[in-house]
Amino acid sequence: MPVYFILSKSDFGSEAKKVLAGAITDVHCAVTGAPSRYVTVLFMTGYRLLNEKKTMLLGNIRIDGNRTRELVDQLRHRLVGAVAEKLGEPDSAVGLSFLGVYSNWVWEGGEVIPVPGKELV
Amino acid sequence: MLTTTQYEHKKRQQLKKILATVGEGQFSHRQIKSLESFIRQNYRTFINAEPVLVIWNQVPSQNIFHDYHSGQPSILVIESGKDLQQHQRVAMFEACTRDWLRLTGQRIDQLIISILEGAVFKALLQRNSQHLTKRGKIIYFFKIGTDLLVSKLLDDYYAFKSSF
Repeated sequence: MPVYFILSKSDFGSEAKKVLAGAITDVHCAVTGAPSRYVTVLFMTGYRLLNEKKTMLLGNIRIDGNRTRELVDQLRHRLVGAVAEKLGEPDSAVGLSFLGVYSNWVWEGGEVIPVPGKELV
Repeated sequence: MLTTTQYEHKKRQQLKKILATVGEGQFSHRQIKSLESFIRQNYRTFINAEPVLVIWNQVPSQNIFHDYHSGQPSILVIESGKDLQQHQRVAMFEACTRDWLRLTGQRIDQLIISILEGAVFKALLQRNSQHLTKRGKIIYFFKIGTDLLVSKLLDDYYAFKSSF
């Protein structure tokens, strides 16, 4: 956790997927302070998106600990900007929706995941 | 008064679900069936004695990245009731991890498990289709529905490919 599902109509190609996954991981870690070992990105294709979006990011993120509304807003803004930039599209071509999950609901690396801000980096 | 079909539909909707996301072709049919059997058993032991529906989401392995690298982490998302205690959740995590790693040979850092309350789990399941055009929704539901039906008939478990 986080797990980002990236929906798009067609496949971006292997190099672009690597770049996008890297950009999403970079932004998530820079904004939240979470270690990159927690970040998973999955691409799913065949999705005809509303409002002519090129891609839609569905992020499952932790919402407790140090995750304030401001921090989540900043994460949203920077993720959309980073993905749009990598795709060479305007920000409006990228959609994002978060689903908040409590840390104690998640198990990763053989332990209950720590609350945000308490991870060992 | 509900008809038999309506009753069965309602019952299916109320059934608690588990979504297992794995790499496409990563595990054999036999492995998947064994994993499903252990997951069900653990669910009965630690969470709820009621039946649970396991659905396998198969993702092309080149579409999964973890910690910057292309790889094949497996993600189990389990639906629970609101009153689940944390010790039950941890017992389920531990049992599923033990069985999963033994049956798949995956490393401990390649398995992510979450146990979500019903409302959050439903939001997760419904999310993909919410951002689609009308035509996109028809294609999505047709494709997923067909995959589930075919896999149940041929392999005896419910599976779909989330990229099409």
